[in-house]
Amino acid sequence: MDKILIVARTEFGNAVRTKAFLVSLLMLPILYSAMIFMQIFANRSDTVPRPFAVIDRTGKLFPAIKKAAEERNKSLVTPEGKPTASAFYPTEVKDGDQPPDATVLALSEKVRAKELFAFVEIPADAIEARAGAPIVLKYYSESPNYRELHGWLEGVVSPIARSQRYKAANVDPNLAARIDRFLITENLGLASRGSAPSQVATTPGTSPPPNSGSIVAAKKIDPVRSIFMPMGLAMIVYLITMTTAPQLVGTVIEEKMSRISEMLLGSISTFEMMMGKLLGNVSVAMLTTTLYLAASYAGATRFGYADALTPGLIATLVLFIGLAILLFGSLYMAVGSACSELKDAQTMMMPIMMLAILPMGLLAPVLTNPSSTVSVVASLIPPATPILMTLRIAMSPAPPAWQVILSIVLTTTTAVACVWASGKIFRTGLLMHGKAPTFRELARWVLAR
Amino acid sequence: MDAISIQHVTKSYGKHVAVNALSLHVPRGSLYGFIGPNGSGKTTTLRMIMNILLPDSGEIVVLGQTDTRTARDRISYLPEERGLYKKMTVRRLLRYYGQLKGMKQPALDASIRSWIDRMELSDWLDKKVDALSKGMAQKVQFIAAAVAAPELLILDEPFSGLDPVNAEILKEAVLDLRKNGTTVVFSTHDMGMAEKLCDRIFMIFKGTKVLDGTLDEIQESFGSDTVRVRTADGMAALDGLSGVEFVNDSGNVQDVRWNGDPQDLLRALLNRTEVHHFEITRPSLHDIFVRIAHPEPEAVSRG
Repeated sequence: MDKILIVARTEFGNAVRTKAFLVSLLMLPILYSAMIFMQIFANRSDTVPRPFAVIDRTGKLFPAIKKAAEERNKSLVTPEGKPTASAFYPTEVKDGDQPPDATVLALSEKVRAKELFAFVEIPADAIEARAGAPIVLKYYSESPNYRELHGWLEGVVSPIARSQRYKAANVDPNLAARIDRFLITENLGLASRGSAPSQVATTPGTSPPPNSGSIVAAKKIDPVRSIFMPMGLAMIVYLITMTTAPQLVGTVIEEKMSRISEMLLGSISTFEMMMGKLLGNVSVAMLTTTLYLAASYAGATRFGYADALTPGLIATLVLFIGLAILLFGSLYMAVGSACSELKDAQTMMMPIMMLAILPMGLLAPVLTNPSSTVSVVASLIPPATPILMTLRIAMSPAPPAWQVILSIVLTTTTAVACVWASGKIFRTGLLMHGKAPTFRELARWVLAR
Repeated sequence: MDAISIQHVTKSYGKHVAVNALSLHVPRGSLYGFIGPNGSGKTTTLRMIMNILLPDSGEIVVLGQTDTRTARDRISYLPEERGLYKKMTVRRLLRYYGQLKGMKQPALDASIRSWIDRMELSDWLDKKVDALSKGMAQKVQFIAAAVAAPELLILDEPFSGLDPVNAEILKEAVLDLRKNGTTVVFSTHDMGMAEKLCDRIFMIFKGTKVLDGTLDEIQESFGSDTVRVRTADGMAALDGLSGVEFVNDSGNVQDVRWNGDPQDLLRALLNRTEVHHFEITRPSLHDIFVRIAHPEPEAVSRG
């Protein structure tokens, strides 16, 4: 054990002295700030005016559209006269003598020539009151992913057309607006029983049952708690596993090729060497985790979310990161020991990388439906568990305790199996030089006595 | 008592028998040279002694232990083509290797300090390894193996690639360790070094022991059929002489393996040229090595 700790300490010291470690430390904050910065920059910087044409076949809607655009443009200008977003400038185009498709073609040419940004075709029946499918507003442009103009038109033309229909039906537009009031949904959690009477506000109209706490009203769902925090914690598990464990491939190959490993094997067993390196790598991951969590906690406290980072959640996250490093780290070490060149190792690393990346594809489905069969099964399958179970535990309601315990048991078992199998490969591979072994040979090494 | 005792050890890689029924005894306090052509089983034997490889059959006892792992802290091994962590400082590296051998502070730092001074590396103690020249790095590697004052020191090709000054420093260090009771086993391709340094020499060829004994014993077993000559004409003087089986030509001196009465060779040479030196001697280790590794007689070998 002594020697394992000596190896672990040296591995840790070597790892935190590298530039790669500094990069991995800064990666998450840099990634986050870059994303935020890019979003702000992208939103702020686009103030290019967008001229567009309207083919209004109803002949009645354009003036209102133009007015709405003018009001919007005015509202975008700061008191200093600086625009904060793109202004929209509509012009009306009529078919005249030519057939409608000729108008569409002519305007398409103008968009191609950059004289116009887009154009929209409003069908003649847009103001007719009758049942049936929704009326289609045809929006043409060369920038299909620019949603602002398209979205604005959708929101503006519909009420304008509606008010025309009311006018035609002799309905008072003010009355119509009152009748038309929208219903919106509020996303809530569930109500629960508080611990002491009258501690928390009761739902109006109900009285607390005797000898029990008052009913705690359901809280409004906060996307920070329901989406961003679980995603952020799952990302921490993913990023730390991805930046820390693969470093073992490089160090093992370096030691193998420079015969350092042979010199070490004169002092320690392959098992001590492997466990020492793994523990060193786990320590590096724990240092990164501590720093990330401290930063997350500071941020959460600042915005009033500190209570979401419960000790239980942090403990399972730390445990899962440790297990993930043992699981993936041992596999990476096996690859490093089996190869004599970084090039060969990169090929053999691919399947392991895939295993590490795959769970990321399931983040969205698990987030939407954390207790579905797919989510439960996926979060119990070990390579995916550290990421997906962390995600589920961070969400409310938390998964049942048996699932959490089972996932820990399964991941631990798999990690131990990976360390065992990799140890066999490591023992043989370390002294083999030359051509990289095939997967079949690796399997034989694992099964050898 | 033996530092290393190898009994009927065999080791194969697939169908290739690397070491075949080898038995060898290395007495404590001796300086034992392992020689043999490349691929003859030297490194496999050293790795088995270190318990890095396990023999297929037979028994190895090192410092009285059958399971060499328990004796590991008392044995040091310097592999061939060895490297060092490039990004570590010399001090951290030597501390690491010393700790792995079970050394504790402050004895470890004292030992590092004395070795560093002895190897004239004081200015480099806190420099990173990649700043060292090749010769300095090789000395650091030697210190890494010797720092824990092992009872048994195993060196695989310790002198290869060293300049004469550094080779001399290392040779002195090896002799000092031996004087203090360390058993030293080293493999080498330098026959001159083996002749000068070793108490006993062991040669392995195609996995089988072919020589084992003191230099005297080995040379004795090969008889006195070697004549060392120095003549005015060098190699040309020996051309076409029918008794010449083999010549190891060192330019100014030729070692001739002569089949027949040496006096006949002297007469033949005197008839041809001026003879400066004529000595009936025993074959050199180099000659013996070549005789074993190249069993078919060759007219000339330039050594």
